[in-house]
Amino acid sequence: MIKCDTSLCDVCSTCAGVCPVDAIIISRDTIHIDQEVCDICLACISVCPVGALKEDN
Amino acid sequence: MKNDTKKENKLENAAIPLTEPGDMDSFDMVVIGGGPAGSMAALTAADLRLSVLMVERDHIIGSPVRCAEGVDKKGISQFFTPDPKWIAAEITGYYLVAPDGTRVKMDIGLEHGYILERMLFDRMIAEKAANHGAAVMTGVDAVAMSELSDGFRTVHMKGTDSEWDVKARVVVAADGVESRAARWAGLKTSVTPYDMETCAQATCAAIDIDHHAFYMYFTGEFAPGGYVWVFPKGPHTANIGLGISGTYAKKKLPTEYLDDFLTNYFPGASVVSRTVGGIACTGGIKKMVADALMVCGDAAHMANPITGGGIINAMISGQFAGETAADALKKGRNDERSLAVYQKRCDSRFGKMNRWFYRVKEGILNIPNDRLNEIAHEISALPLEKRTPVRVLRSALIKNPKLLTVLAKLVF
Repeated sequence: MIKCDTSLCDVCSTCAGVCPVDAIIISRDTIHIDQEVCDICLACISVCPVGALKEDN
Repeated sequence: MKNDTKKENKLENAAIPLTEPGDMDSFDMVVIGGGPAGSMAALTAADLRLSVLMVERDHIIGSPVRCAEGVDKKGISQFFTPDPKWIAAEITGYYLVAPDGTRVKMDIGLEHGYILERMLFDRMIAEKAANHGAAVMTGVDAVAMSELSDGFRTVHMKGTDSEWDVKARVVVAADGVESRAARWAGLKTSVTPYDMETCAQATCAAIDIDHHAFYMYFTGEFAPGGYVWVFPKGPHTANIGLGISGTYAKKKLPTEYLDDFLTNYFPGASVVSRTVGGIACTGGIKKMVADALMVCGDAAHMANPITGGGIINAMISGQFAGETAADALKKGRNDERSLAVYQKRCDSRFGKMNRWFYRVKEGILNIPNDRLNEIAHEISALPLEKRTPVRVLRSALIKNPKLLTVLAKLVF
């Protein structure tokens, strides 16, 4: 599954912009990843400008 | 607003509000997102006598600033008389910098530019929209939207401690790069990592620059598949940032590329603020209207796919959305067909151009370092008045005849 390190995340929404299945929901100060919807395509990880997203097995 | 006479004419034929004034449960137009696109849509629609609600998720309009803040004078002047309150610096020239350090001073002609103070600029437009009659709410997140039913879409709002529904004759999705609202209407707005420019920027003080010029560094070492910008905000301050294609960010983060660039080129700089973000550089989404919905600005990928500049296009789209909504609602319509003119107007103003830019993007942003140096030397040898963007693009694409043909179509 994809996990977000909230201490690094700047909530810039770039990850949500590449998510092909709308699994990433941005609110004011946090991101939520719907693990049931997520396809683990890793697109979000590749565009995160601060490296906050990681694949965690 | 400029074009006052034009606006006056339109006001005479303004739409009669279909909703009761002061009613906070239903509006002619609900705008999601309070950036330049959303605020321009709200301002335009309010001027045309529509009842408007604009919601912004953040608590402060204009903050955080995720932007390099550069605009051209002509672009901004079509909307507002430039005001020192929201302009940080006036730009009268620019430099392209090659990987070997060759600086090419370019001819800017009469096309001066500005570096904005986005925090103040965005707030100015939002305040104007409010003063012209739009309801503006901050700290309110649109979290869901219904299909069109009985003439309205219902948008579910979430504030700090409460949730409620708002009915809208027309929804404007100006909710930026993640654009949830467009997706709710079934429009495809997701971007491939290749077309997502992932960006990091530091506002740096104590640097030595020509503060009336901006600099673009093209270097595969520090910005693969993109470029580094230095946009002055004052005599010794500048936004220094870079965008790289998402496919290059796997190995090294934009923030790491930026730190390396600063260490190399601006070793004495003090970083006073940092920001990150993404720009969808696809040249535009295919379909930007649905029943009772129009998509504006970054949500519709309206930024120039080579430069990443998107403020003016976002504002134009907001204005078009406001005008289109007023025209359609006046006829009692809000279906997709009645709003289709919005996409046509965006296309002819900047959409077609952006699609051409997209086709030459790869040829421009992935030139190897030694070739970039050669181009810089070729351009330096020309007299200043011949150092134009077109000339640079031509040199950049000379070994790529297919793209050169595309460029010819773009320019002539």
